[in-house]
Amino acid sequence: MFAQGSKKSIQISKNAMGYLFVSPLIIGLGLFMAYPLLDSIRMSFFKIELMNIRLATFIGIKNFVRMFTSTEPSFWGDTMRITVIFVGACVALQVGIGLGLALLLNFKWLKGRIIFRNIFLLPWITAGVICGYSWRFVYNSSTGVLNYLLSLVGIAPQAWLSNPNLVMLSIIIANIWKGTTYSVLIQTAGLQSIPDEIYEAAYTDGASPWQSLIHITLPLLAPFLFINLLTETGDTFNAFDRIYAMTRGGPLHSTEILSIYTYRQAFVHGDLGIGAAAGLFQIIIGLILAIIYLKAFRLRAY
Amino acid sequence: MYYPKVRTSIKLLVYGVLIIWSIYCILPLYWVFTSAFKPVAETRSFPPTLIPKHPTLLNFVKVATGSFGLQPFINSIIISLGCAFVAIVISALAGYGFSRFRFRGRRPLLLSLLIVNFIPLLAILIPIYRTFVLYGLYDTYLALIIMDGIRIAPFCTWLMLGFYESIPYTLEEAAMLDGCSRLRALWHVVFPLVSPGIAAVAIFAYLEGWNDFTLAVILTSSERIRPYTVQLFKLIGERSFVQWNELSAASFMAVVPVLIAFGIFQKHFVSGLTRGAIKE
Repeated sequence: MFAQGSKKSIQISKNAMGYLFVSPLIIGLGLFMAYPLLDSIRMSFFKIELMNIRLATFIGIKNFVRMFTSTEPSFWGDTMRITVIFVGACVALQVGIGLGLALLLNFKWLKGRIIFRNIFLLPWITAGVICGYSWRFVYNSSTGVLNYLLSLVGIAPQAWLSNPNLVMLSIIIANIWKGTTYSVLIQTAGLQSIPDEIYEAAYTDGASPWQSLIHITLPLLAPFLFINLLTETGDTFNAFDRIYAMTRGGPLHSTEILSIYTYRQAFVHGDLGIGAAAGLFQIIIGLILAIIYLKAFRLRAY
Repeated sequence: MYYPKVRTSIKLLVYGVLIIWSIYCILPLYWVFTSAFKPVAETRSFPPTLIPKHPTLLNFVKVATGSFGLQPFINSIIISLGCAFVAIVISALAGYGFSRFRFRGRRPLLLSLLIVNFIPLLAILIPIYRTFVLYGLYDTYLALIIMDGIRIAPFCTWLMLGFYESIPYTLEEAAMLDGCSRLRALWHVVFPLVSPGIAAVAIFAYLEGWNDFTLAVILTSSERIRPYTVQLFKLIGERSFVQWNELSAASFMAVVPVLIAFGIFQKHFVSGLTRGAIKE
């Protein structure tokens, strides 16, 4: 009885100490993540102007009404449509190309694997704003290298960033430049988790390379692909610096994805209330993605 | 994949695809980097020159002494070091806590750390901006250090957790039985063993601070605090005519140290990334 009691007290003190170690993290996240998250709900029901930041007037759901019924750009018809196109195209390309490149890099006979991988990492470690700036440089209509390369094959120069019909394609190309590497890394980790013996067994049973790709690699890679899909969706959905540095949402709001819309409302127009409402909309989408991610994520080891 | 004989044509095709993607990865940076060494007239000429005809270091002198200045780089170094410090302290402690104690709410807490990556930074920054203005944190190094550090801390905690889990508990237990306090055991026995993890956290957090633009563009206003990312952005925005060569030199100065550091630590970097991103 005595022994049991002392064992229990050790258990409790161990628990209390655990809280001590994680407390800086939890307090930090509480103050600088959770609190602003709740504060943005509150702020979205107030009129708060950047110029007069102390003053907050309760206006009910007016911010949301104004946001959802705005024209030029219209929230659903322009901003959200653009966001969905941008996120959809980028995620599909980043995960798809990432899978392809990871498969190629995984060939046993490949030489220079580390060199290729390090080259692929370049865009990923480059600051978003420098990424945006570099691509502006490439896309420059009068001195840019892209128009020069196209002129070599006889294609007329294009205004890549000022033609509203082209600019979406341009920012997608620039965004997958930065975003694909992460997919390559995740899916390489996935491929490396598949033991060679399975392929050897399939080979001795007469499976073609194509068959083992379809029936072995892809099913075993599926969890990695799914997690990759979700993280890329979250990341692309919140993309801001690289796109803003390239186009500032223009021309004529044609690249104004939701995050740029939020920034413009809050810090260019100076209406923090509408900014918070738009931000809340972003948060809700982010949390939905996060919940799906958590459902998919298995805490086996921990 | 296990296939002993691969046709040469297929091999060539694979190398071809990988080389094309490599060119795509290098091209925009190559153009910026070579422009950093070109005189003004050459950056405005068409067709663009592949290799600088008259290489010059004048652009770097202009960056250092002109309107860009060296202050933004100093600011970025301060912010990034601060961010690395915050992230190391928080994640080294929290990772240890999650690894060695089975307290109530441990699993939900660990899982909720994964949510943080999905929270849109801009949305958080609107209330943060207001709070920081009201409490005098706006336009300070501390504001950026705290926010950068906290933002990366959950990822770093997962990273550290993986490293702690690879170290047997018996080592500290032995030290504690010999009369070491837990903190002494942590400092003298455990930390040296997880130093690769701490190095990885330091690199990730430094890079996070170094590359950040979103936080800095919203939370700073003066040139005294502003990091190079915002300075670059302001100079592109404020001038109708962009000085590509000067901005290229500034970009070169911003990216090259990162590339070198990355080259040295790339092993930790890649294993750290996939380790934290996928935990089975």
